[in-house]
Amino acid sequence: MIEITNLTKCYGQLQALVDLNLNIGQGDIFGFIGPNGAGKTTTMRILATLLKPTSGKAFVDGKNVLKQGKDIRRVVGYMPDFMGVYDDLKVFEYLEFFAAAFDIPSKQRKSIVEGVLELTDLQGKKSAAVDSLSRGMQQRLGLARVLIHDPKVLILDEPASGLDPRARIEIRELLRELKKMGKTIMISSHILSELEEICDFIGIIEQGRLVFSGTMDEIWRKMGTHSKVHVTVVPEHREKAIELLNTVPEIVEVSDQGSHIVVDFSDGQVAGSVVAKILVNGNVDIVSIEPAKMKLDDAFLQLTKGMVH
Amino acid sequence: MKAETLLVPFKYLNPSRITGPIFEKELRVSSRRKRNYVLRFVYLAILLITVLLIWKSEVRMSGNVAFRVSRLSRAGLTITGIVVLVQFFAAQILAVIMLSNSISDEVYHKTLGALMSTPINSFQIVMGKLLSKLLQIALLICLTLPILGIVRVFGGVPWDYLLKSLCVTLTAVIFAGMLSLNISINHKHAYVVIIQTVLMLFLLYILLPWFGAWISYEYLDVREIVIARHVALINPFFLMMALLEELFRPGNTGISLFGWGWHCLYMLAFSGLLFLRAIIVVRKKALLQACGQVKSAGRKWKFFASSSKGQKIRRVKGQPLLWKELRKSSFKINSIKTMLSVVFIIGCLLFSYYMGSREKFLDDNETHIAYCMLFLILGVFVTTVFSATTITSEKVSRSLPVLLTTLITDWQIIRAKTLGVFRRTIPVWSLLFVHITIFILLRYIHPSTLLQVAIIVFGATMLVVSSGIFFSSMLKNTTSAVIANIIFAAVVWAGIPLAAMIIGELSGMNDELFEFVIAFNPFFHIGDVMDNASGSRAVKTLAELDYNFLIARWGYWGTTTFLAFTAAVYAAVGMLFLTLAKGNLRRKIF
Ligand SMILES: Nc1ncnc2c1ncn2[C@@H]1O[C@H](COP(=O)(O)OP(=O)(O)OP(=O)(O)O)[C@@H](O)[C@H]1O
Ligand SMILES: [Mg+2]
Repeated sequence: MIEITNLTKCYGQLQALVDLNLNIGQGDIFGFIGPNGAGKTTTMRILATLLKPTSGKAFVDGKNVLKQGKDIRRVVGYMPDFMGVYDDLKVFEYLEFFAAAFDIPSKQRKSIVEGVLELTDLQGKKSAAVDSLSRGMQQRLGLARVLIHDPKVLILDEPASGLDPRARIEIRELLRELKKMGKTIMISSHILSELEEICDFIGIIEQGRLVFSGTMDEIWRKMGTHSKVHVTVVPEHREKAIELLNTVPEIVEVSDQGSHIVVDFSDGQVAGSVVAKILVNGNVDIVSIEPAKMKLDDAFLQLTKGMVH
Repeated sequence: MKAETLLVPFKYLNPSRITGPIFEKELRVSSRRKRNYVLRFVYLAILLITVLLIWKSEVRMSGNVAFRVSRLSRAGLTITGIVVLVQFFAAQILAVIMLSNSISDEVYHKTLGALMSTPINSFQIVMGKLLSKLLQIALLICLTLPILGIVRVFGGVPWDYLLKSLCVTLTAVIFAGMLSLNISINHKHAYVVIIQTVLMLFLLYILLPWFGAWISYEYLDVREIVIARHVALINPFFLMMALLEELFRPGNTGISLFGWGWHCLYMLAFSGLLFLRAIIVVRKKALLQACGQVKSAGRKWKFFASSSKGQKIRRVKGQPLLWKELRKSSFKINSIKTMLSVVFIIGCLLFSYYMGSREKFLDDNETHIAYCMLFLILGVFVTTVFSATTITSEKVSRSLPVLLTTLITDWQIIRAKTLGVFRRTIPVWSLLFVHITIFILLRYIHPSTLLQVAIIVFGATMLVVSSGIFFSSMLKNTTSAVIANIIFAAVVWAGIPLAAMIIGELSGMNDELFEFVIAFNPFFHIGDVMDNASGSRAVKTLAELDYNFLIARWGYWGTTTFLAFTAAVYAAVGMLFLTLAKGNLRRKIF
């Protein structure tokens, strides 16, 4: 659905995007992660036809962003990271305005607007002035606006910023719903745990370069987290357990983390069973053995170098 | 009394306290703005060209030595007079523009609350803003000093004239700037502040003194010279004129001698009062903001608020952007303040009509020339400012990107914006048309003028509206766009005729060039139209109107055709601007 090849964007001397390649299939939810200033917004603006790339190509729904702007606008719903609202419109008027801007015939507008208002839980604010809404409410309004022309592709730049925990969960539900409807969604966020649960694919970008892209599973494999085991034993036996574990040839490193012991295998296959066998044989009382689960946040930290240009 | 309490005033006068971090921030930001360098360059260039042109026209190297010397000193006087006058006007306008977003910027970017949570106090905020802008204007004024210095060498220009005019200019600048700053506390949009300040200055410097003078002359039997002296005390424009007259005819008026020092003191005192008000209001506003209450947009008058706002949701009809632009008017009468100002303006107008009828000058064509010219200037000014804000305001509020991802085409945006400006300036233009209509009904103005005036207004607005939209699409912030458009309009309708006059003088073409240029000038047009068809001529038939238009005798229809042609030329140039604006639209979004 979205195809980016060798995309480069320069602002004067600064290279915001360098040879970016990306493919997002129909119906996928793609999570776009990167530190501040990595180039996420820039990429999304290019896809939304708001910015011309310096070189490279980008296609949305098979249409070239440079040449078929109007066709793309019809199928894309773009929600900017910071959205301005007109200060003299009411919520309903605002949404109907955009419905009209997308050539929706005036007879259907009312029901469509009611529909998106319900979807985003804004019915109660129907006749409130747009600029009197709170930040989170405005964010929801932005989301409602994006949905108004029923686009195939949604490009959402940090849609969850400013929302309360409840609204965050609601957005997550909404995105799942939209996925079921067959929409392709590209979403950027700083709240990584949020992406973890809803995204099929993740792209990590830093300094305009894609440092990683793939499924969640691929991230875990790449991080090698499957070869780590967390072992917890009763405190009196800890010394002994470490001693025992150090004798096993497959184990590369044993480190004492205080509450638990982290065991690192050279190849991640045997893992838990070997540890269990050794410790049981050595009469160590085991509390728990579990494979280490690394959070996406850690993966993020590990993959990016934390450089901001 | 403790020594410490005695020291409090000095604490406030400590330079580092006065300037503070705001001052430094403003200076740093302004030194990064390209616009300031452009402004300085343009200002200097205009002055230099004027000086050179006058110099060449005045100093023809012929005749005997004594004659040449006398011409030389006359040239010196003219140049000095013009430079000082240009500086006087330009510096005040700049002060108004530069300070028009000084406080509102902080208020609407919600930084004011943040500032208040630092040790910075509202005194430093106001002082920092004021000083930093004044410094820039002072810099501009300093740029002209070398020119004046050279000119003085020709002789004839007294030092005290330069000194007096400099003081008057500076105090007037401070006052205008303080007024703009005060108004900017309560208004988000710079253009609203600019327009309000200019209207306020107009009221203070022209309307009130004139009214006061009239009252005291008519009813209190005060002598003219006494009135003039009192007006000069509080009116920098009047004083400046008096100074100028004195420069050319020494010892003539005696007005400036009487009170220029007092005048400056008064102006400073008024500015001081405004300064105090600003500190107090800024402090209040900031505290409100720190508590998270930004949305108190002033007291609304209940009666009007309920009728104009209402709870009804309006449905979108037709092309959406057009609908949105046309539904908003420039002012809604929903607060006591707007209501009062509308009543006040109408009251002034009616009063002037009443006086006109009492003094029997309403059937003079000069009267109607003056009224119409004034209304035209006002209308063009407001249109110039409004149009320059159209697209930048979308950029500043960050709603442009969203708009550009819809199916609304670029042309539709441009068209909607253009029509929106026309719509929003209707109240201002109605002054002109209501005036004409009233006096057509009273048979002081010929009905045929309505068509001509409409054509003139159409042409003039087409040009400034489209140039405004062009600048607004090209530049990033509203203030730059407004300045650019004002300069553009001033150059086209005042600068070029002036240059034509001077060049004509130089090259010995006499007035031909000048007459050619003003043949396309709406302000001269409206003057001529009123000259031909108002006053005693208003009751004649069209055929009887012996029409003198500019240099030609084309009769009514010939003149109308010419006016239509001029308007068409303006409209064509306007279309060019709009095309350029459309090209810019997607280029500078962020
Ligand atoms: N209009 C602009 N002019 C110059 N440089 C820009 C402009 N817009 C973005 N940049 C630069 O391009 C780089 C990428 O910016 P971008 O906004 O795409 O980052 P981002 O990944 O969205 O960051 P964030 O997470 O903070 O939103 C940054 O270094 C930024 O400074
Ligand atoms: Mg961003």
